[in-house]
Amino acid sequence: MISLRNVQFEYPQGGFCLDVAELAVPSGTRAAAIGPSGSGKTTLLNLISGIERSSLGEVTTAGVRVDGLSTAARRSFRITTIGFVFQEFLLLEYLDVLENILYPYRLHTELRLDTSVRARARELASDLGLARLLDRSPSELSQGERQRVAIARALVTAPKLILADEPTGNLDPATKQQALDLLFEQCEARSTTLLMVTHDHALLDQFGQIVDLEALGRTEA
Amino acid sequence: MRDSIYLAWRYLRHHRTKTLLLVLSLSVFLGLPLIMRAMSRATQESLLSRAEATPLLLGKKGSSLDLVVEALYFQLKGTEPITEADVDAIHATGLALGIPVRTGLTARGFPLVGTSVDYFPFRELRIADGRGLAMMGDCILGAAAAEALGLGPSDSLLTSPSTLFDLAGVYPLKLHVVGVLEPSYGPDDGAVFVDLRTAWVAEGMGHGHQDLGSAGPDVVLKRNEGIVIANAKLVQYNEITESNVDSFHFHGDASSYPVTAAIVVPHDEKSGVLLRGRFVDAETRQLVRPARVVDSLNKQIFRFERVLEIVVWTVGLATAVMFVLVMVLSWRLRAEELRTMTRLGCSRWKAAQIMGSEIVMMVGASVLIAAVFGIVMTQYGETWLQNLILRGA
Amino acid sequence: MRITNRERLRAIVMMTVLVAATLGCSKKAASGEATESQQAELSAVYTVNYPLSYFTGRMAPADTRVVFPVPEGIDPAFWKPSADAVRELQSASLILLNGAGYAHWTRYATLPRARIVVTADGCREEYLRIEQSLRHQHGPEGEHAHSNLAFTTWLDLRLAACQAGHIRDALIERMPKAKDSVSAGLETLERDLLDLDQRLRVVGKALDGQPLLASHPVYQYLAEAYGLSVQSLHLEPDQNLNDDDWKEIDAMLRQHPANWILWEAAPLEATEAGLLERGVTPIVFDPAGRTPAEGDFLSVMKANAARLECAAGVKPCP
Repeated sequence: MISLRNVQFEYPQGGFCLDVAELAVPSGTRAAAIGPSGSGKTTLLNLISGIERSSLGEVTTAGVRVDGLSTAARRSFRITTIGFVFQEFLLLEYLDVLENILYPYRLHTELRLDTSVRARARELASDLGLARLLDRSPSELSQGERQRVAIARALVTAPKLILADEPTGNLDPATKQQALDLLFEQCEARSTTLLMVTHDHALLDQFGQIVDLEALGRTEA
Repeated sequence: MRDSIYLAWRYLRHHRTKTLLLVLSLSVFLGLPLIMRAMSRATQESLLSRAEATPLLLGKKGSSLDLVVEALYFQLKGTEPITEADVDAIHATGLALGIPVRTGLTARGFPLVGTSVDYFPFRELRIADGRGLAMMGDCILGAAAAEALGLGPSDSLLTSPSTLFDLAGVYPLKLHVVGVLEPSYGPDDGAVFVDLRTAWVAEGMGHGHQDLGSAGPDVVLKRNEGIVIANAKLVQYNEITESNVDSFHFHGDASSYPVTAAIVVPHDEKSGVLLRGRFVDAETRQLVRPARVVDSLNKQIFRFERVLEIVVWTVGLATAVMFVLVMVLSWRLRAEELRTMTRLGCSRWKAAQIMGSEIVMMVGASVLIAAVFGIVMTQYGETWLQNLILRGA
Repeated sequence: MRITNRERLRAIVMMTVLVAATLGCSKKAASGEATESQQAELSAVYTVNYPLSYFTGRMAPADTRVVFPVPEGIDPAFWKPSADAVRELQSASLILLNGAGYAHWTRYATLPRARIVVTADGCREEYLRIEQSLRHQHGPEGEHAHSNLAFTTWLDLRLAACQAGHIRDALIERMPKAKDSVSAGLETLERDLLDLDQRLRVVGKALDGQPLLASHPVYQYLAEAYGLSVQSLHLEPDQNLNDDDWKEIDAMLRQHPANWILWEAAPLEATEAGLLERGVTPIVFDPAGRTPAEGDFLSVMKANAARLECAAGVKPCP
């Protein structure tokens, strides 16, 4: 699913450089990316998703050479292939739960919001225990519920890959595990590859693959 | 595009207070100068058309503007009156018709206008319901006055006392509504019309009372050779009816009774010129052309309007700048949202579409509100603005 | 056919004259527009009493509608018109009032000022005053008092002629095209009125101040114009006199030993008998304020004059 080869990336303002000799995450894997702050975890996700383009090397995601795509093509690829779960959830307060889940469909003309999509969103919400909260505003939800909405939004486009950037960072331990269980469950049910950035080493044994950015490209099974 | 509009609408709805404030301030910016100009134009035209429809106006020497404002628009200015003799003198010239106008009192807040039956065909006022004036004690209501008071033919209406706390003052006179005029979209709509003599009675210059000849001893103080002196028990009528109208009378010479002004309608242009010539050197009277007086007023209004426009446009510009500033700050505060949109694959163009839709919707709402406000103000505000101008004139 | 220069010039001059005449006519038409439209609108002339109605009828074109709106049997001086009647009056092209406070209703009715002519105004310096006013009731008009001014101005025939003159002026102002016929009408009317005036002057001279009584205070102008010494009572011709009335008559006769008493209409037989017993002969002098049952103003006044001439011995009695 994910393959990086001799990838180098540096932000225009300088000060940081990501250098990955080799990284491979097979399809269907539940992988965790770890490393200290500033090691490039978010940058890695950005390169894999096409938000940023590497200056050197090859980045292949879901079989597509992302580094070779134009900005528009990367955008298009991103929305149809990848789902994002953010640490701060980044839900929109002015939309209710259902509309937050359907938000990606509002942002792209390629995605058509029709009744089947709405039905899928409701089903997803139901699977995540959000069925009776669909007309609520995110401000009325608990942290755990907000995280589940974020997960639902990531899954609504039926992506092949979920990139989660510390999705449980703001949750308490009990809610954290619940959220993780749900995420794992949904990814497994959909055969979706998961690459999750985390600081929490206690969670690592729940992942099938660990990507240690400090090791700069070395992977541990 | 529909999704952009939807997201914009949801955002604006969620932040309704901010949205409302921005929309209202934009409405003011967009609408106020235009509404002001439209209303001012309409008011000036309305003032001028009434004045132009009045060939000449005779009054006491003094402020011609006050005279015109009081006689044409029924705004009380405390104008010194002329007399009925002046109106008779106009008739006696054979050059014009004189129509007396007496203002000064009100009836339930509406100006009471004493005049002659010639006033109505002159102003092309038609009866919508009931009939015209026939006798003392009758009154005709303007369309707006009738609607506001909820009165029609067969109803009655009290004049308002001239001074509330003057115990020796004039008692209200009960008038009989005999007709309601069709709307004329001018000052006549808000007036209560009576015969000139009725106005005099209402002002206390005429009265009716029980017959002294047959009055009982409890009313008579002294009776001596055809002279009867009555006491305070003498019943004075506060209503003119068919049965007591005979008893109403005026003491002294009626030709000396007051008239606020006389509308003078020359029979032809030459007569008008001759008449004006007769009053050029008049010491105590003035014969004015209302159109000229109002035109002069309009010129002053126009000058003031120009100054006001500059102020309004300046304020409006400041409002527009504030609006832009608020929008820019708002977007900065939504930077996180924009980043999320980008990460989720939203193009810059789409993001611009969403943000732009918010602006378009707010501007659209502002335009709509300004338009509605403008229609309402030009419909109803003209009278309000006219009264404001006339009160301040 | 060749057109010569002279013919061309003539044509130009004629065209110019034609155009000028048309413009002149249209200007005249414009300035006279109001008058012409007034003429077209002079559909009705309303009068407050019969004499004015008669005078108007003698002068106005035949198709002029002259309306005397007072119902039969009502004294026009005390008529109280309804609102509808007043509204009808307001539609008149010309309203002829008598003057001297005649027709009390004109004081409270709303009438179009421009269309009112007070016919007796300006015919004399001052109107005559009644010494006393007494409130009483007769007929369906209800209780009333005679006004302080005497108002039967037309009984002074020269004053009547003056009133007719004012009517003529008002008619001509509104119907300038009928000026000649109206003026001719006035001329013949004036002749008739002044003939009567002359006859009454002779009567006045013949009576030479002999006292007369009058049943009502309505003969002031007659008395003043023709030198008659008249004292007035308040007696109704169609009512029997009671004791108080006779006492009043007797008291009056002691001060004013009249041989004749003027009545507006023939008194009852009993009244006549009582008066004759007292040596007072009733003479009918109809003030002609109302439409006569027979004849017209002139014939009524001629009959009045004949009766006075008979009483004065000027002419043989009819």
